[in-house]
Amino acid sequence: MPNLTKYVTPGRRLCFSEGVTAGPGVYERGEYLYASVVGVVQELAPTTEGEPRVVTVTREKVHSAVPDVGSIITGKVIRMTTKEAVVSIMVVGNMPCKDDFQGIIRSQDVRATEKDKVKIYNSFRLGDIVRAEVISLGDARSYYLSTAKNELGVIYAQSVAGAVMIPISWQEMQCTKTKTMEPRKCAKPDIPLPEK
Amino acid sequence: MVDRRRIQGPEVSVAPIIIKSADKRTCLKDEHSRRRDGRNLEDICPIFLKTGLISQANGSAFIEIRRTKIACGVYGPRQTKIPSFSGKGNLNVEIKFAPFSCQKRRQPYRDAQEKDLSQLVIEALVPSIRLDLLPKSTIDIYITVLENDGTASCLAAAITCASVAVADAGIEMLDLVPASSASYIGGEIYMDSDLAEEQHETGYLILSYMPSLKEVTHILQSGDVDLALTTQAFEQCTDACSKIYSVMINSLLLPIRDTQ
Amino acid sequence: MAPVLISALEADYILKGIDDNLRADGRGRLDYREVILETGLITQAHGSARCRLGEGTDVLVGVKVDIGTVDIDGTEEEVATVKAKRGRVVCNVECSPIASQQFAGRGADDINNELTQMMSRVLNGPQGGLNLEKLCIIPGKACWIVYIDALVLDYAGNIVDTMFMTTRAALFNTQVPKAIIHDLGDGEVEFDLSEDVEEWERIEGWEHVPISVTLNKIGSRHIVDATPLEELTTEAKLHVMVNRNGKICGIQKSGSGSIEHSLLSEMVQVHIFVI
Repeated sequence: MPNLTKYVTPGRRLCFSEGVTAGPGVYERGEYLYASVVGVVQELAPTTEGEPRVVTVTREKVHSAVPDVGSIITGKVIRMTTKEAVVSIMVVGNMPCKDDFQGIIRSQDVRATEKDKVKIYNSFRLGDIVRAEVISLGDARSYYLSTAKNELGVIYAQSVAGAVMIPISWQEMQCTKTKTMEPRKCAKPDIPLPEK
Repeated sequence: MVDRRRIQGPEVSVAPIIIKSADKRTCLKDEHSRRRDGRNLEDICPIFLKTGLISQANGSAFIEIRRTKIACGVYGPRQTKIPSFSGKGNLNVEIKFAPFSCQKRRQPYRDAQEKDLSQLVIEALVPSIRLDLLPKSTIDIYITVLENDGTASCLAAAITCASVAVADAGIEMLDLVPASSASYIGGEIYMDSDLAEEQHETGYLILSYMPSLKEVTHILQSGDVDLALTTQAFEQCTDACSKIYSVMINSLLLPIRDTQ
Repeated sequence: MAPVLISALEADYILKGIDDNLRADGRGRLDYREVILETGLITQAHGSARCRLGEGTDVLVGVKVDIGTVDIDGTEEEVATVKAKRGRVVCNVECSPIASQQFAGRGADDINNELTQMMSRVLNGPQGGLNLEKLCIIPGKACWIVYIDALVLDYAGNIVDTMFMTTRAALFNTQVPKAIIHDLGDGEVEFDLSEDVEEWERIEGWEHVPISVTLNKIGSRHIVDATPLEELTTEAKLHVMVNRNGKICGIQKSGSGSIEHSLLSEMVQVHIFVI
């Protein structure tokens, strides 16, 4: 019979706040720590010596994620202009969003070098799935995203012929059917290189 | 001229005499101070509360108190459609009475009273939700009243139900918000009154309270009462809220218990 | 123009001042601004009043009485017989765009609705003070309906208190035309309105109409009669409606903060002190 006292609801007082820090799902008020979600309370040992213990409450239910500055998101390109690509954010980290958020990749955030020579049409196309990082909360409508790292960029695209494309270099992708090359800003795939 | 083709009614007719049934005065309590359903004045009704009712929503709850039935669905956090940047999240509540829910049929579109009740629910819930962790996002709460057995107790049930639904959605909160209502009838306080008792009331009180933090998130009172009675009603409502709190916790932990 | 945003520094300044019982305009925590009240401004209305609070908030209330039918459906028999002998009060509050830019277009819809409902809740019912039985002309059929329309002309904080003060004054000023009832026999009754202005009576019960005291919770203290800047730093507001007998006719909280339990009782007690 599992220990049900580990399960808490929001507002449940957990412990004194001395010598403990609040992790996700926990907040501090006065001299106590309280739970802020429904879930399992866990006490984690600190990663480095001398740091206080961290108390967290992990959610039972899969909740809808909200993008935050610094998080890696996966989304689909839904609109393009000469200066930016509009992305519909579907997954934040590993959690899917119940309802899509909107983000923008401006032309100066596509890559790290030669920012002013970027042509959006040669970096993304409509319907591409991209991995990007949230750099700011942006304006009222969209978050600002950036693909200016090696592991960020297009991870899946379809060619004009309708077949799946595979990345050849960080600038090009090849169609599997017709073997034509199309320009994209590709993400570096995280498969280890074969032994020579 | 006499009309022979039809059967004529009598020439002199009088309206029928309707004999009114003997004294129909509804007696709200008997000599032992028990109400019509057997409760004492300060007892609240048993509550049925269940989460996970609506599969499409992020969180949902259904509450049934006596004859009042309310379903609530929470969607969010999702992106705010209104083009205004705000550092903290936005809470939007829409409460709707089903047309068949009250004694008199309600219009299908939102009327002024529903907008006002929505605003009251927002004010009751906002202090308990950590909106500062959800910039640019909106939490939408949709409450549908399926059957209304007393407006004051209906509003209190709606706040309780909405709070449980938000917790079920996994949104970070400071505490759950139970709410309770009381009626002032003839100088006495009737907790959790139903429709018949409400029509005899001289005032009502709705209180929503966070038991863990001991803070009142919302209070609404109407009616001609003196201070001593009001203070006593506060105390009774606060106690009732603590009782409702344990029911809310149970309903949230029940699905976890079932899966174990 | 009323500011919609407030800087953290400004908010802190106000907070510290209130802690020391000294507000930005020199008042103490429980001091009201100067009230200027005039009645009988609008000849077309049966009653009217205008109230100015300090140099800011300006509310104009017009009262018109009209003949209408009694509304008794949906209530059980016993209550219906009581309702059949009463008149009604219908309220409407409108914040004019000239009061503040935030009220332009649809911006005022929410606040209009909230204030209207607040006023209806207080004025409809025994706590409203008005003698509704006197407003009945023919039981079950015709009655006087009192239409109270409030217009907010200028906004400098504390609309609710001003609104209730003005409404009470307007009702003091209200004259109801006299209805002469003709009994036609067989249970049929008809009525006529008397043409003679001298015969019009003052509405009964105006002196029992409640007024409100709005307490704003800032930090761990509360103040009355807040200016717009103080209202922006308020976490929660408590409106307490009292009548001249010292009885509480209504309590409503608004705002997005919460109030500690002990503080709540304290705040409700304050109103008696202020009145």
